[in-house]
Amino acid sequence: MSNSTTWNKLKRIFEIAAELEGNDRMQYLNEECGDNRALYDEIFSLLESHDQMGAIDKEIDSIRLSAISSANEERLIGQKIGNYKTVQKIGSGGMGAVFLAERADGQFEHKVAIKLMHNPFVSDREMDRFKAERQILARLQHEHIARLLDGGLTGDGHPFFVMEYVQGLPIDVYCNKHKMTIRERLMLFKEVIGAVEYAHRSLVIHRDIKPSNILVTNNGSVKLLDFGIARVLSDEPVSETVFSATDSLALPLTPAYASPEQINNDTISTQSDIYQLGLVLYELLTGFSPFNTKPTSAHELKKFISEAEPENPGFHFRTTGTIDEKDIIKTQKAAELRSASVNRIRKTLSGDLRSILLKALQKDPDKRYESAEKLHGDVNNYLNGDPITAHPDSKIYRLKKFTRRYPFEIAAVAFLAILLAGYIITITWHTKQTEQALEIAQFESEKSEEVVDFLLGMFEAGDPRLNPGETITANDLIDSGLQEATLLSDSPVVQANMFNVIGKVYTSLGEYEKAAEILTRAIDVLDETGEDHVADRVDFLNDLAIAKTRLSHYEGARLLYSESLAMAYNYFGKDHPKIAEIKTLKGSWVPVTGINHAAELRQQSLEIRISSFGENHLLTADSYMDVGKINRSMGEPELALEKFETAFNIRSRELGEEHPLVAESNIFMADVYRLYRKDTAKAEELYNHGLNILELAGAELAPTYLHGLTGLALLMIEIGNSEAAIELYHKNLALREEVFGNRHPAVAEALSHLAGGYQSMQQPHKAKKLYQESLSLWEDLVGYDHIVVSGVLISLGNTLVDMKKFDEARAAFDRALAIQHNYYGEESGTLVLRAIGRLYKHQGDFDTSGYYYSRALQQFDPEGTSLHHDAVKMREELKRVKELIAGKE
Amino acid sequence: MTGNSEITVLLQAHAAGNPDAMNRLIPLVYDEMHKMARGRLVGERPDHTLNSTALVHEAYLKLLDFNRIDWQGKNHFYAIASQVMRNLLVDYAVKQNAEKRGGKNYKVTLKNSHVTEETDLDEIISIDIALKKLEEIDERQAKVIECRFFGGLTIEEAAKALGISEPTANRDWKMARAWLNRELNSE
Repeated sequence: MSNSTTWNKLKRIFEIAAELEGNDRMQYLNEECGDNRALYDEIFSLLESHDQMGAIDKEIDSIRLSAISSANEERLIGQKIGNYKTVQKIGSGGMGAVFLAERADGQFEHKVAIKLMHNPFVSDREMDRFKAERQILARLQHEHIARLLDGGLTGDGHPFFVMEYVQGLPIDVYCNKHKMTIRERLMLFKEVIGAVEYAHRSLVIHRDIKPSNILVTNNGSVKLLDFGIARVLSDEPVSETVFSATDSLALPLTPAYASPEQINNDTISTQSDIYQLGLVLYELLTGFSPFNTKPTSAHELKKFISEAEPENPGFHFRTTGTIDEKDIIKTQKAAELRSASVNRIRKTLSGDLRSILLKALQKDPDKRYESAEKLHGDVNNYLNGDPITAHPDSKIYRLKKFTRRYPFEIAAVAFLAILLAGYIITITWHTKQTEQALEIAQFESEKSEEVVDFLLGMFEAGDPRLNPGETITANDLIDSGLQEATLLSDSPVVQANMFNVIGKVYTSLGEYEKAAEILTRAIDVLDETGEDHVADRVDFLNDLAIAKTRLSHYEGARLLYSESLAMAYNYFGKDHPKIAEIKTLKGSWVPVTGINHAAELRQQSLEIRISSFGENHLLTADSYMDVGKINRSMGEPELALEKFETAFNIRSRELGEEHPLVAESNIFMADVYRLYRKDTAKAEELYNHGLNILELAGAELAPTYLHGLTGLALLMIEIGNSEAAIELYHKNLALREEVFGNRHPAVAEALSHLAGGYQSMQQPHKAKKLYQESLSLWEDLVGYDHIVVSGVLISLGNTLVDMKKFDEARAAFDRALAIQHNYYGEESGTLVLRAIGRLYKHQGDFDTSGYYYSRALQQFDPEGTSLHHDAVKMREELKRVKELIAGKE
Repeated sequence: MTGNSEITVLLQAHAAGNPDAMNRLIPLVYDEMHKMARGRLVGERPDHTLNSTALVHEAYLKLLDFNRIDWQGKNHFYAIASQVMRNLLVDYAVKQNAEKRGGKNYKVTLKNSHVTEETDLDEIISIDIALKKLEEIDERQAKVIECRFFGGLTIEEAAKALGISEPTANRDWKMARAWLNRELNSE
C-alpha cells in the first residue's frame, strides 16, 4: 500500500498537523500536500480519526482479568484437587471455576463438581471459618439440595468445595422447554422453597438464589446448588456469626439478584433468601423482571433494587394501554411458553399470586414473609384454592375467599364482609372524637373481631375438607351458628351481635321471614341487658328495617327507620356520619319513602358526608352514586351523569383505576350514554371497561357486573347486534345458575332478560317460553301477587301481542295492573297502561290505544317535560298513534 | 526454583536468545499476575469503584519486585508481558465468542459481576487483526499499541519497555491510534 518513504512523509505531516487546529491545520495540510490529493485525503482521514474516540480508547481491565483467570483455570484441567482429578471445566466466573472431576485413586466411578476459588486464604482466621462453615454445610442433607461432599485447600491455599455433580437445566430454561403452566411451575418451585426452608432451619442462608443455581434434573427433580457458599466467601468475622441465622455483611455474587439489604451492605438474614425466592418465582411465572427498565450502571441497579416498586405481575400481560409491537410479541411468546392465553395469564397473575409475589419482594425485610415456611404455606394455599395470608386484611379476606369455594353462600358472606368493613370505618371515626368515644370504639373493635371470628368458625366448621363426607348447605351452617350463639348467653352483647349477623345472612339468602325473626330477637337480647347500647341498637333497627322492606312491610320499615334516626340524632348529633348512613339506607328503597323523599334523604346524606369526610371520601362517592341513581330515575340524566362522574373521579383517585367500585361508576355512566346521550360508542367503551375490571377482580357475581352485562346486552340490541346480546344474556344466565342454583330470584331475572333478547330478535316463541319459565319461578319464589311478577307479566304480554294473541295478552296485562294497584294504589301501573296502549295499536284500535297512552303519560309525567327515557318514548308512541288516527280520518 | 527467582532466570535466558525460555515463562507470568490481581479484587465491595488498572499494574510491579533483575531486564519484561497479555486476550475472546455462538450446554456457573460486552470481545479480535497490518507498515508503532492497549502500560512504561524516548513513544501512540481507529471504523 505505501512504501516507507511515503509512510515517513505521512508520519511527519500528521505529527505536526495533529498539533494544529482549524484553519492553521488546513493551511498547513494544503502547503505540504500541494497537488497530491491522495496524500491529502489519507492525512485528512487520519486526523479525523485522531480527533475522535475509538475502540483503542476502551478500558479493557475487566476483560484482562477474566482472560488471566480463564487461562489459569484451563491449566488446572487434569490436575489433582484433594482426592479428585479434574476432567473438564464446566463453568467459570468472578469468584472461581467449576470443574467436573472424578476420584483420583480410581477406586470407583464417582463424578463430582469441584468449585475452586480464585483467591487463596491468607490468614488462619479465614481458614478456621472456612472449616466451620464447611462442617455446617456438609450436614445439609435434603433431596433438593446438592450435597457438599468435601472441601479443603489446594497446596497453594486456594479453597475448594467438592459437591454432588448435578446434570440438569436451570429451572427457568427447564420450565420453558416443557411449556409448563403457571400451576406446574408453582408445583415445581415448591421443591425449591422446601429446600430453602430446610436450610433455614439449620441456620444456613443461601444468599445467592438465582435460576442458574436451581437445576432441574432429567427426572424433573429440583436441586439447589451452592448453598451457603456465598457466605464462606464473604469477608466477615467468623466467631459469633457462624452459628447464627443472621449475617452482618453481604457480598452479592450476582448483583441482578441481590436483595435490597445485600446491595446496601446491611445486615442480611434468612429474609434475604425470601426476597430472592420471590424474585426467581416472579421471573419464572411471568418471564419478565419485576423492574421494568434495564439498569445501565451498577449505581442504577442499586437504586432500582433499593427503591423501584416491582410491577404487578399481571402488568406484563396487559393488552391495553401503552404497549408496542415488540412487547406484544414478547407477551405472546411468554404466554405460549406457559401454555395459556395472554388474558388467562393476566387474570391468574392478578389475584392471590400477585399478593404472594409482592409480599416476598417487599423492600423492608420485616414486611416479607416471616419465613420460607410461610411462603411455602401461601403457595400451597393458592394451589388448593384456600385463603392466602399475604393480604392486607386477612380475616375479611378469608371470608371472601371462603365464599369462592362455596359460591352458594357468596351473596350472604360478601354482603357481610362489606358490612363489617363499614362497621370498622365507623368505629375509626369514633376514635377521632372524645375519650369516651375512644373507649367505646375499642370495645366495638374487639367485638367486631369476635364477630368475624365467630363467622369464620361458623363457615369453617362446615368445610367438608375439615369434616369430610358431609354435604353442607347454607342452612346447616346457620343452624350451627345459631346453636353456638345460643350458648353465649353469658355475654349478651356479643350474643345479640351474633344473632344480628345471622339475621343479615338470612336476609342476603332471601329468607326474610327468618331474618326478621332473629333480628327482632337480637334487639330483644340487647334491650334485656338494661344498658344503653345505642350504636348497636341503631344498627339492629336498620337491619330489621331492611328485612321488613324485603317483606314489603313498608310501613313497619318506615317506623323502624324513624326510630333509629331519632335515637341516632340524640346520640350522635344530626350531622354525624351515622345519620348519613341511616338516611342512605332509608332512601335506598323507593317504595318505603316515595321517590321524592328518597331523593331528599340521599341528598341530605350526601351533604353530611361532604361536611364530615370532605369531597374526596369514598363514602361521599357512594352518596354521589346514590343521588345520581335517583336523578336518573327522576328523569334528570345530565345531573345523574355529573354525579356518576364525580364518584368515578373520587373512586379512581382513592382506589386506582382498576377497582370494582370504579367499575360501578363506569357502568352507570354507560347507562346514561346509552339511554340519553345515544352515544353508543362511548357507552360500549364504558360498559366494557367496567366489566373488564370486574372480571379481573373475579367479581363476575356482583350485582354491578350483572347490571353492566344487561346494559351492554341492551346496547347490542339497540345497535342491531342481537346475536351478541343473546350471547351476553346466556352468559348472564349461566353465571347466575352457577352461583345461585336454578331456583333463585337472580335466575328468574336472567331468564326474563334472555327472553327480552329473543323478543328483540323477533323470535316471540322462544321469548314467550322463557318469560313463562321466569314467571312461574317468580311465582314460586315470591308469590303470585308480588310486584316483581307484574313486571314479567308486562313483558310476557308484549310478546303475546307480537304473536297476535291479544286476549291472552290482555289477561296478562289486567293481572299486572291489579298487582300494581294493590301495591302502589290506584294511581299506578304506568307501564301496564302503556303496554295496553301498544296492544290496541297492534289491533288497529287507535282511539283506545291513544286513550291508554295518554293515561300512562298523565300518570308518569303530568307536566309533559320529563326527560326520563320511558317518558320520552311514550310521548313518541302517543304522537305516532295520533298520526295514525289522523291518517285514518 | 520457584516464584520470582525462576522468572528472573527465565527472563535472562530469554534476553540471551533462548527460544524455550518464553514458553516456560508464560505460565509463570499468568500465575503471578493472576494471584496478585485476584487477591485484591475479591473482598472489594460492589460500591467501590474497582480500579483494575491499578490492580493489573500492581500485579506487574509485584512480579518485578526483586533486585536481581537489572533495569534492562525489568523493562524487557514489560514488553514480554504485554505480548503475553495480547495472546491471552485474543485467545480468550475467540473462545468466549465460540461458546456463545456454539450454544454451549448449560453449566454450573459463577456469574461474573463485571459484565463483559460481547462487542468488546469482538473488538479485541478486530484490533489484533488490524495491529498485524500495522506491524507490516510500522513495527515500532504496533509495539507501542501492544504495550498500551493489550499490556495496559503507560506511555512512560511503554517507552522504557521498548527502549525508546518518551516523546517518540507518544508520537507513535498518537499516529498508531489514529490509524487503528480509522482502520476499525472502515470495516
